[in-house]
Amino acid sequence: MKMAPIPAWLDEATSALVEETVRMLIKRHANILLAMILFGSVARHEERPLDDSCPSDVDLLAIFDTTDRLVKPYREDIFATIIDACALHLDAPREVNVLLSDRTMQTWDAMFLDNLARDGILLYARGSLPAPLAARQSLQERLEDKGVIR
Amino acid sequence: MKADAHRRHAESLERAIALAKSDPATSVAIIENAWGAAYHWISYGCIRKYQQHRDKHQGLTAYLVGLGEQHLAQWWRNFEDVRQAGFYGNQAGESEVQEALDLLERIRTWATT
Repeated sequence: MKMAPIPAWLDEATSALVEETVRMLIKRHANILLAMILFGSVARHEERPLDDSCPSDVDLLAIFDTTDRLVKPYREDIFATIIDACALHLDAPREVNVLLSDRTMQTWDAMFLDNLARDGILLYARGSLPAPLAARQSLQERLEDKGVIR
Repeated sequence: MKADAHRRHAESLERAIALAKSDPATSVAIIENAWGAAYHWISYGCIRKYQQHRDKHQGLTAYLVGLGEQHLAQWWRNFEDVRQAGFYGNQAGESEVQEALDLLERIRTWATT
């Protein structure tokens, strides 16, 4: 996974919505937000185009400093923030989905975590990545160093 | 689909949820059905209150915000998180099922009052 800006291949209006969502989550939930990762088809640049009957959504994972999978008691406030960001960019042609995760990431499927480490684009991080991702990140870097994967 | 048809679909899915509740192994099915029922209740409520609705769930959040239904949009976004976590997670536990049922209750109340 690499720390990078929002991909240039995303249209301007959706990009603005993603940026607003990340900015507002950082501003309002700085005390518990650990990382935000763009993943899925947009991160891999395999997204269905805007002229498709069902263009791809943008998938974000927001990791919070809690062990509660549903991120309670902050959950409602977090979704209120996401909706406030959405309200400022109703012209965005792609929907932006934000999945919430606790820092243990224990309930996530191993394949999902592998894909996240391989294809994800880190948009924000405070401190080091949660252990399940950091371990995969380290493995990926070693394999890249050896030329096993690129 | 007309408002009454959406209501019938929602009620049918809720009956399926009631039947599934006795079996803990059906948690994913309960969440899926609750999500589906919530979508139909939103369509029913939008037709009742605004004489319009969105006939697909893609883009529904922005559509609801555009109607001024911020709380409803928030509940729907929350529901999408519970459902999608089921796709990427190993299991849907009791707390996820309870969250889905609580959200469904709120959305049904919004639609019918």
